[in-house]
Amino acid sequence: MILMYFTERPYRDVPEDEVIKNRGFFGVPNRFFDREVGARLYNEYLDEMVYAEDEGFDAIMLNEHHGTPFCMGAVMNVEASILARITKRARIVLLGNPLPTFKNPLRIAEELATIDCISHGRLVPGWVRGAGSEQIFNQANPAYNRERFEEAHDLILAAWTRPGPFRWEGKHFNYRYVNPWVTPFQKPHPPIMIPGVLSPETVVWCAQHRYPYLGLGTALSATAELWNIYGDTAAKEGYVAGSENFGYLQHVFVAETEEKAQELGKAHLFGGGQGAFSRPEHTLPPGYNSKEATKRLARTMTAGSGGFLGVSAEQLGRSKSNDDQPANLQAVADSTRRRLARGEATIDEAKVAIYKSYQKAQDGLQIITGTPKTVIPKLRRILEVLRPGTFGVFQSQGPVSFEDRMTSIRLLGQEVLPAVREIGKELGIQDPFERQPGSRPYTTGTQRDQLVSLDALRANA
Amino acid sequence: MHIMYFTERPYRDVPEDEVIKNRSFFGVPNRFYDAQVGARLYNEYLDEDVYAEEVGFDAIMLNEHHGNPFCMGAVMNVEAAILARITKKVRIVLLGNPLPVVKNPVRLAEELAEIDLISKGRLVPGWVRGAGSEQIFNQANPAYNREYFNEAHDLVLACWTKPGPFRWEGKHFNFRYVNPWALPYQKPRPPIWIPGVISAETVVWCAKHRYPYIGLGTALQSTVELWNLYGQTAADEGYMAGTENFGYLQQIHVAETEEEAQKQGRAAMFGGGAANFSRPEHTLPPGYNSKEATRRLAKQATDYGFLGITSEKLKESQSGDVRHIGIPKQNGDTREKLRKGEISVEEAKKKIYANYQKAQDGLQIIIGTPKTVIPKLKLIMEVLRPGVFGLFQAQGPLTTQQRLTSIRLMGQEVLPAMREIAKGLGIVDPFEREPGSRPYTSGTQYDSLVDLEALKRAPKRDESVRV
Repeated sequence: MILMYFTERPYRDVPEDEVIKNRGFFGVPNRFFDREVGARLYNEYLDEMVYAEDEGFDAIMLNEHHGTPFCMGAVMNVEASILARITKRARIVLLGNPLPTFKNPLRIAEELATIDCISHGRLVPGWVRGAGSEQIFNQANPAYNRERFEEAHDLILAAWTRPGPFRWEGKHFNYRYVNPWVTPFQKPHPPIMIPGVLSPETVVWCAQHRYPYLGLGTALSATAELWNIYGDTAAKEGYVAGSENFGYLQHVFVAETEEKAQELGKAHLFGGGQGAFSRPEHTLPPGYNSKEATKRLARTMTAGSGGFLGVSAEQLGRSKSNDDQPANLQAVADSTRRRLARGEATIDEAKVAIYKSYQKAQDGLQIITGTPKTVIPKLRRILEVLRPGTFGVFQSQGPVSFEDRMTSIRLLGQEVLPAVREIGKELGIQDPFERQPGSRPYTTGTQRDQLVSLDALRANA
Repeated sequence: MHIMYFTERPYRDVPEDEVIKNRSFFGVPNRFYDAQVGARLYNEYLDEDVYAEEVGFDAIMLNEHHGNPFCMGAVMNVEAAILARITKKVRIVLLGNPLPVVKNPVRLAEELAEIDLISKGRLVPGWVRGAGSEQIFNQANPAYNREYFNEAHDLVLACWTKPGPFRWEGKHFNFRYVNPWALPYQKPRPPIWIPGVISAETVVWCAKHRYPYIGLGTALQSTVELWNLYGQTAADEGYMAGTENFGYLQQIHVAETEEEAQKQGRAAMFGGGAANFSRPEHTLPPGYNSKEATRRLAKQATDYGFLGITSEKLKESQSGDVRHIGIPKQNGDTREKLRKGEISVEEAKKKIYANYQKAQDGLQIIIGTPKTVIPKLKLIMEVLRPGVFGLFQAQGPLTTQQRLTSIRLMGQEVLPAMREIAKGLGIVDPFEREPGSRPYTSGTQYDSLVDLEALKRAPKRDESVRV
């Protein structure tokens, strides 16, 4: 198993009231940014990542968001560059570079090749479409989002694998002379992983490219269905998908005692948590989704929108399975947002509504908080259901102190990771570095591998 | 005096014959790139930067070029990010980010703000138009080069200093919602320096913005004139320019003995050196220069110097000094003959290396022991009085050990001597005195920026020699 350490690198000192007043992290005016705090936090997050490597994590995962205190990695390649030099062994997993917002993908190909070389081949680049807010921030036409994603992807891969010079004349990008001097360390190109929030289109695309797909904290039942779509697509493409093709990211916070963990773990809900990443109108700008995806949303999302990056996993899951989820944080966030917008709720009332869902969020495994002893059984449940070859541990978001964050990393390293590795072994989980994704041919008519455990899922219901 | 360490981070293992056959570094096919070598070199260059800090340099300078074994810093912000974390006190000077090719200046503003924060305020961003080859590589229309440059510059600065959110509707860039979360550490913004190769337009632009101007190894005679043009513009703008407004970059290699130095220093000529950075047709794509600059070149240029622009030619065109017209054809001739198959690669190499001594005589490169290089550096400092001085590690196939020795000797002997000289000359750097901070009263005499007496003692550069 590949175990990744992940933090959004939140600007933890943003005034919570401003986030709530703004009804989203995206869009809080930058006058609330304090340079001393920012400088300290960037460096502390790098310290955390070095420590995570020391404590036994196999990889550091980074992500990128623009114009938001939720994630200070506006250009995560800055941090990836630094990690390439200051870490020794950990993979640097980028989930992901928002391709449609780049105006010069060739520059990204050069940048990532440089990082891969400096790290001696430890880079795992990943690509995302970018949340709606990234399109707004970077003035990227949402209607061309998917087209730009695909063309930028193809161009970067060509820049890495096709000997230069060559010419690229696409729909969105044109280069008369492609011949980057520096090409990646890993041949033919670095392994690529793709994160997602349950868009079937992305899952199918991943399966076609044999790229591992990482579910970003998505609801188990819906995730299991997506895994199966991947598996079916893989079979059509002529290969057998297995645990090496999947990954999962989970909010986890660990402390020395249950009491302390429960107290600190509330920070996950700070400002509304993930559900308040951006307002619905910023998350889903017109044109961002395909017609099909828009129809799907229109049918199901009566409560507004916005879960993890604005797409409500639970609601997508429910629309398919009709199975009512116990803890719909999204519904809480959305109704609170609407009441705030209308002036029907005060900030303090909104806060009460947000923090009231803390226990429900834990019950529904949206967040896992506790001591090593209490979190391991919960992680086991997820591993049993989804069998992911790659597993990311997503450090707490809100105002937890640096020391408490480091303690969580230490406890994860000392107690949780070894246990998770044992469980992985017991379940026969292979990671993408043990078994190349897409390397096992599929013979038509035979039974493909079981990718999820429906028994375990039922036991969780 | 602010002393910078600089290297182009060359891919030193590129086969020299391929460079010469290609008639320039830009355009050598990337099949000659070996990732193992690249990985080693990138890390060695970072080691050098850290070592340069240890031995006493005040700053590390980086630059950026695309698709070129001459400089592996295709996205120098990658290295700048690393330096922000692995160095402790040096300034990180970027000369510069090629604004017209970047395409999303808001992203660049975010990137540089992060680097400034991680370094706790040690970033000195600088901007360039980018050589012609960068426009080709990045598919940036050369005809809009200056417009892109100006607008991207204004937008990056607005990102840093204007509270968000605001709207930007320019000619080339449009953003409905500008509100980057992370802003630079330095307030109101990081100090900005601009490097140049004797474009009078750039010098005037710098003076108007009160940005220090760094001459990239340009001939002393023409550099002096440009300094004066800056000073005059500064006076027109109502401030007094001084040493804090100027910098100079000099290619150098130092060794323990004169004999070793002379033997090793030949590496600076490798592949034709900086003069062979790119072919003329790549250096000056149609539209890249203003009409005025194009006219000036059409009258004069028969050859291309640092990044393809002959400083002497421009200077002559401005001063009416035509003594050397027709002489500096050597590189151009060699290139043309190679193209036509009239000479072999071996013959071309001979021509290149035959200039080694002349290049030293003209101070294009300074090679020697600390004892022999210091007087030459002193002369440059006397003539130009730069507040910022960059020492440009020689290009070409030097060994790692030879490069580190050069850095050590510079730190131990050359830097202290330069600091003494600067003190004697009353040279003040941009951190000691804010550029543009001294008001100028109309009609009074402004500071003398150069020493014309010292210039008389300086050797005349042989125009036929390009490194």
